[in-house]
Amino acid sequence: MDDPDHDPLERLADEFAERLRRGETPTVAEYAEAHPELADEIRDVFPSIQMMEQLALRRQQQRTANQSPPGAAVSDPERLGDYRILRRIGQGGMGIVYEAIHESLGRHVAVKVLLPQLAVSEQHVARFVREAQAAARLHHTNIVPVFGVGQDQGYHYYVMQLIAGQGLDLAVARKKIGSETGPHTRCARVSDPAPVPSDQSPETRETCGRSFRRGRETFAERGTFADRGPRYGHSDNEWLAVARIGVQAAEALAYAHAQGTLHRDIKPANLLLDSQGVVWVADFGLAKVLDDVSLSHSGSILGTLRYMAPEQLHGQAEARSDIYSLGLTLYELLAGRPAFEETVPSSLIQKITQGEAMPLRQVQPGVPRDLETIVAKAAAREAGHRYASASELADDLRRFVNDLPIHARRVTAAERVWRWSRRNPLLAALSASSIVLLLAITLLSSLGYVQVRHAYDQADQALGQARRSEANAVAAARQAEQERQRTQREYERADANLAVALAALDEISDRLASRPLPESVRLGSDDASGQQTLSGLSDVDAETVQSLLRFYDQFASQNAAGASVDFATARVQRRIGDIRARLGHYDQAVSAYQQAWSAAGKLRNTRPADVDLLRFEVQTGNACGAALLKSGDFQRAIEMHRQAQELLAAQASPLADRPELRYEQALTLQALVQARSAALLDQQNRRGPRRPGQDSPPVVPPEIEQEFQRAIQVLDNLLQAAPEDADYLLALARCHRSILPAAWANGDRAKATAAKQQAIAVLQKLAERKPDDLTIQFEWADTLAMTGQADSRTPLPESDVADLQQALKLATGLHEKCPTAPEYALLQANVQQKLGMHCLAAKQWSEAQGQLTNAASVLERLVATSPNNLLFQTSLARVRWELADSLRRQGSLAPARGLLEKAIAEYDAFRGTEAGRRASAGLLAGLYRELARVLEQLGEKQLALGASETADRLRDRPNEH
Amino acid sequence: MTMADPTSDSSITRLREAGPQALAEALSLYAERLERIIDLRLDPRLSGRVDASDVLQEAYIEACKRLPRYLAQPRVSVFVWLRGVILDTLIHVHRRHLADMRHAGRDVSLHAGAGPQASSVSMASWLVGDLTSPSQAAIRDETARKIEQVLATMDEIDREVLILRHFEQLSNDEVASVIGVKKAAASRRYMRALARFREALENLPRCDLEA
Repeated sequence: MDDPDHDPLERLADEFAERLRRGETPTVAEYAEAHPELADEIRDVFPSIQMMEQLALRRQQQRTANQSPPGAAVSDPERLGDYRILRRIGQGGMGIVYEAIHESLGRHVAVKVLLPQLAVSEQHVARFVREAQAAARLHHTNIVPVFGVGQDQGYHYYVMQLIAGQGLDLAVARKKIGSETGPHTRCARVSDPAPVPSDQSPETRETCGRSFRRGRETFAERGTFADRGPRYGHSDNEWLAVARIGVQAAEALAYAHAQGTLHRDIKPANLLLDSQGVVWVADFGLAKVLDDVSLSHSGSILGTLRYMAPEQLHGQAEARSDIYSLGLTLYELLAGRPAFEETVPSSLIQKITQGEAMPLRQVQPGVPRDLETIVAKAAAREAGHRYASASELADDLRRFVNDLPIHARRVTAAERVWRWSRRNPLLAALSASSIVLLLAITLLSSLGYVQVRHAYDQADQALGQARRSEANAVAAARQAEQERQRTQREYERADANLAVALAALDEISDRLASRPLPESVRLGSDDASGQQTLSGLSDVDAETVQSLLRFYDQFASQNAAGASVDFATARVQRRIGDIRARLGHYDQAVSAYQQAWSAAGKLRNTRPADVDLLRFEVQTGNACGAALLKSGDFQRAIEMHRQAQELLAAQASPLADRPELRYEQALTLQALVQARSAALLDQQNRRGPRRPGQDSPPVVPPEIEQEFQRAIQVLDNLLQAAPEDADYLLALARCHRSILPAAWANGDRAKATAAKQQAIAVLQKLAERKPDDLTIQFEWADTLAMTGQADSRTPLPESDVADLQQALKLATGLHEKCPTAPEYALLQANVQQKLGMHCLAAKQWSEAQGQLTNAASVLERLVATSPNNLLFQTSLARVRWELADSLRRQGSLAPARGLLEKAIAEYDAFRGTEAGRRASAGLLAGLYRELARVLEQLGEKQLALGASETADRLRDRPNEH
Repeated sequence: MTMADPTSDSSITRLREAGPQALAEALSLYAERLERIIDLRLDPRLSGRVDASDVLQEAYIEACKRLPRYLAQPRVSVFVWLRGVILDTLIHVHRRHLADMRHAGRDVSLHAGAGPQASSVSMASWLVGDLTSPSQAAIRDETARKIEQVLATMDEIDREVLILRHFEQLSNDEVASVIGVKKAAASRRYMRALARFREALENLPRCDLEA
């Protein structure tokens, strides 16, 4: 402030603004009087400052405002039954607490009175009475005893022991005030922060009879936290004290939970600390008897939002919700500030359900690592990640207090990102940067793994040497043994970290693999050039997947040398294959799968009875076969599935009879049938349509039929043991479905109809049982959509049309539920297109146009979000072509021309891009030819001729652009 | 409110020693100030879709990337640097979410790369955030409208200085560092802007200063 070139007026202006920010009310006149030499200038500019600061301050207050406590205006009763009211000592969400004298016994008690405005509802009174009864049943050294419940002058109340202590919310606040007013703790940035606690719950405000306001000071105070260093709670005793509080509270909870009572509102204000250091859990005020379901109907959310577990926000409380709240309470005691500081309910809720509390040691670097781990586990967002019971939490805290190793494992950074990604159901929600972060972390942990393993081997060797050498036996051996133990611990940890990191990535890859392209989507034969790289991924997903791929590649090369991680390397190769296949790079996928396959084959020599390895091998073989099939190499695909099948067949009886292997067997047979079927249909398509009397009779070849029957048989056997198993049923449906193409190819109509009906029956049953399972819905719709394609003259049979209509309903539902999932949109568009073509053939013009227009607009949206996707671009161009055809046939020539010109311009532009390299020239030629027809009818002979020539050129020299 | 030479700032030393860990500490230290800036400069059309903590998180990742470059030659204090990162992150956020509205007549920024302007729209939305009654809404709206009107008539330099001082609550030294002028010049600009604010205010028809 002594800056010589600092204008004195500005210095005053600064001070004036600062005081306004602190909530003081300096006046312009006051400043003008105190500084007569500047009075004019002050009167000139200070009102402006005041105006702007007030605007800024008001917003600040809005963000932090606490609503006035309910019941603040309630008049206090003088006496309730046998109790003479002395004074108000606190207030909770449901009632006011008074200190009173139980006159007949002459003792001081606390009386909690239900807020009169709540008592108007019978439901609240009933709940109040019930909570008192529940609390009265609890007898534990760390729970405030409840003496009884009563009603007088319209007040409902219950009576408990008066504890001579204070709520921990006050303890936190006091400690802050103390530290803030100390001479060394002034904030460096703000000249004079007022000593104010960061967050005042209504009850605290009431209890200590002071009114606090929160403004800029909070920031100032937080600003000093890091600087303050050793002055706030940095003595080990202080951490131990918090841990001891935690032990007692957790024990109280464990006891109450065992009695079937939840607290539902654990927070600092509800933990009382008396002068002996004993913790009293107060106010089982929101507790509800566990088996009493009558209250859950209201769906009312109780408790204090800030400490509520995410599941409680949905009205579901369980024992682990209390553990969570206690975790957050301990966090606040350690950090000196709440884990979630949001003051606007909506953003607080969002933070609780989506955000992450800042790691404790980042807020308070002095907190011991183990204690941070315990608190983080207790307050994990997902209930499954928390301590399973309050006694486990108490146990771990006790271990910390006694300086023993704790049970909780630290959540690794990779795991944290993984959990975060799991909360965002669609992969598209993963930002690229978080994926990169995850990959980097995983790579680091795998590096650590290799290094630590190396150290471990060395220590082990040293130990061996020490044992062998007689001379300096004892001391050296002990030292070596210690070293070995140390490195073993590190090794185990590194191993666990790596496993978690890989599992995180696997989860992401799995999610990708589990979202297949609709089977019913088949492009015409003129698009064969594009088949190699078809992928249903949006551009964002494709990018994410590319970065996953880079990671796996790096991992594979890094670990290629170490023999010890062979299985891991094989798995990674398999992942590379999965991702390549998902991107539509089938050739590269096949080579990755083959590496994984041969690596697993080598391992099997040493581990012949390893079921996991065997399954891995079979699955890899089948994945490889599927990729080969997609790339159009039918013979090699069949060969691959056959090898997998033989591998399984070679297993001896006890192993081969295990259900998981029989399930693999069924899947392998099904894949084999599918590959053979597809090969047959492909052959048929090449030969042209089948004519009556031509070579073989219309039956499915016996070879396929045989494998098909065996697959069904295996699944039937499995289903006898587990008739409800969704995986088995899904496999059964797919099995029936896979024979469809073979039946079509051979004109075996009866077989085709039967197979499809069987598949649909199974899927329908599954869908009824699991109405929320989108995968099943998708399979169902996709199977329904497996009909022939109407050409422009022959309409589809009625049963096909009915199937398509049902498929459309399902696909539309899926698309509405997940508007960003491209496969659902693609399926919907495909079904609409098929229906449109059928209507066209049936001469239902307006219906046809409606369906095709809808299909086009769905595809347009897909293309808009993922302009680099060949499949989307090609599908859109085809649908536009068909739509133009229908327009032309109804005589709407001008719109048809406009549409075609647009389709040509866009598809041609796409062909010019890197991603569109393999776009179909045949399709473009078709569009030009259609345009020529339209122009011809419009009388534009010259233009028609030009379009027609372009079409010819494209047909003859497809690679020219 | 004097500030030491930024390069000798102890938090820079800490950043050198502890890297991303210290960066997280710094971000949490300044979180509230930075959130205020985000609130101020986030296009109100994005409220509900993006919140300040999202932007902070994204900025953290960005800051991690830029940290080495900053530490190689720290020209400004850690806070001012982080503020810059936040503004750049906001630009990305705006681009991503408002791609199609990008050219929809937004104000031009004070200095190149300064980030999204604190627009009058977002100022106004400050006031209609969590209203409790219609009459309050009306009063707040009125005050906001006046300030908004006044700011709109001012030139960009003056407006930005006032926003930095009073809404972002930066000190004069920080303002100087942000707009890249000497402290004395920043101070002069501020005083001049205040004077012009008053003039503009007086030129408004009927203005109640004690709003």
